[in-house]
Amino acid sequence: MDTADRIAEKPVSEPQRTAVLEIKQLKKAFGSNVVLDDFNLAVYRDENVVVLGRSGSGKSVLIKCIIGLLKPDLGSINVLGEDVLALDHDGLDHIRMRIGFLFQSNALYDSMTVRENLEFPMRRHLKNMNTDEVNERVNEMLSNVGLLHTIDMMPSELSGGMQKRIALARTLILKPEIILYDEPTTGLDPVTGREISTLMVEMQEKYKTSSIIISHDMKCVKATADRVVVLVDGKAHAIGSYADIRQSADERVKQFFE
Amino acid sequence: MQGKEVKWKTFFSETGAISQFTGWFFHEFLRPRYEFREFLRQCFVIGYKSLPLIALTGFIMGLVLTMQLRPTLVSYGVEARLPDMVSLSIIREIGPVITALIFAGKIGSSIGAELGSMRVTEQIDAMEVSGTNPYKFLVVTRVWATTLMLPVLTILSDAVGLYGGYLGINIRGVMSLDLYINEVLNTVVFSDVIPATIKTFFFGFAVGIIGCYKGYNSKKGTEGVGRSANSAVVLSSLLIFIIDLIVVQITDLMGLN
Ligand SMILES: Nc1ncnc2c1ncn2[C@@H]1O[C@H](COP(=O)(O)OP(=O)(O)OP(=O)(O)O)[C@@H](O)[C@H]1O
Ligand SMILES: [Mg+2]
Repeated sequence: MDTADRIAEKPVSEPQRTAVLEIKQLKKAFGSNVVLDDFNLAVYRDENVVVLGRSGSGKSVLIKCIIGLLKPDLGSINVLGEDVLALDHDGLDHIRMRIGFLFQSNALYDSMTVRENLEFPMRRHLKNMNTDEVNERVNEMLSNVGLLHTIDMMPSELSGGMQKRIALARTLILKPEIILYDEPTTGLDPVTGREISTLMVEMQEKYKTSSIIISHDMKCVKATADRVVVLVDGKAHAIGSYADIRQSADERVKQFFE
Repeated sequence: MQGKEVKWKTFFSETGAISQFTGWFFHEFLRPRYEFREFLRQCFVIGYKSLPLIALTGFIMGLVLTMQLRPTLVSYGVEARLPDMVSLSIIREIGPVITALIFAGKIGSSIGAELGSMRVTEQIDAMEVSGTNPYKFLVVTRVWATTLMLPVLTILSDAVGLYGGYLGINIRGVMSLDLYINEVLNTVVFSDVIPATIKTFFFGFAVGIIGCYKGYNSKKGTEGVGRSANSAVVLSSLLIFIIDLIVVQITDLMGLN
């Protein structure tokens, strides 16, 4: 399965702005703690949408609902034409192949080398891929992030920034159409953070992905966002371009820029 | 009164959760896909990691037990029965229980910590989105490995313990190894060995399932991981004694004592 092939299969007459991901009236509560309440968002093809929100506002919960790690209480989530909440186990696996997820804590497998970490999603999802193809893909992704020399190292031997890049390489390894980034630059120094933001934009151009980026690092937001959504009280409080949001007079939006 | 009620509540909800977790094991372990490679890797890691410690403790256990028993037997004038006493105690009770407790300390805590840190660093979530059932890949393989490895380790520990007993006899007396082995084999019968071996499977299962349960449901943060490892050891050690108690009742009722 190649991304380019999949796009080519689509009818040419399709309108330019197709929503690849659509969330409607999403609600998620843990006991009495209502995290998301009537949240709506659409992401279009080749677009980066940044979700801004304070710590604990439910940003991670939102993208975990999208990929089916958490079950929302109400609402609908449509990804690449599939209703995620109605999918059975195999259907969910199938849609997960087309979505990349960069975890907030990288989630690299400690007991595996960098190579094995990158091979893991391929070996699991694409059982009939042969060894040469697997190796080639691993090398391609590692060179994308400039870390080919770490291929036989353990994640614990790498710095935080390097781990983040390896995690990004693993996220990209199945050439997903949609990528969900959970705070990609949090915990990194400003220089490394900028490198990661640049890398994200490069990869987006190279592989033509659409993404949701969760962040409260304004440099990263500025570098990557086509649109910004401000998540307040479980709702999409404001949506607009970076410039729009930057100039917003709303107190609850302004606080992110102080 | 309030505090007590809360404790009872957590006790019951925890028991319920562990039962559910265990039920999940029986639900999952028969269905494909089978993570056979990971299972073998876990057997190797679990067996190999605890081997030196278990051999050492087994040896000391046999030696010390013999030296402690000798004065009593001497005072009754039945010193010659020392090999019988030592081998029966080791094979029926002390070998399985001590080995299981060491195993719980070593393996139960490491499973709890490993899965706990995988949980808090989202590695378990990452597996799930990579088309892998993490319960199967992580839990089922480890529980099988502990269930099958502990009996093997116990047999080994028994053997080393018996050798320790032989050395213990020869500190104050003289007995050839041939004679010692003969005495042991004449004393120990199948009804000693079988229940003792069967219970080690249950001990191994308990250590595996509790370690996995605690790790898999670890709370966020590094202290959550530490707590998982710690409570895995405490709870599985307690369970080992409870299982031991149940098994002794059953063998007693069956007239195997
Ligand atoms: N599995 C869970 N069980 C219970 N409550 C949860 C769970 N996951 C998240 N929560 C709660 O949901 C709320 C939102 O959590 P979430 O992790 O989405 O925050 P966040 O916006 O990603 O914050 P951060 O910037 O710190 O990552 C928090 O109050 C948290 O306690
Ligand atoms: Mg988060």
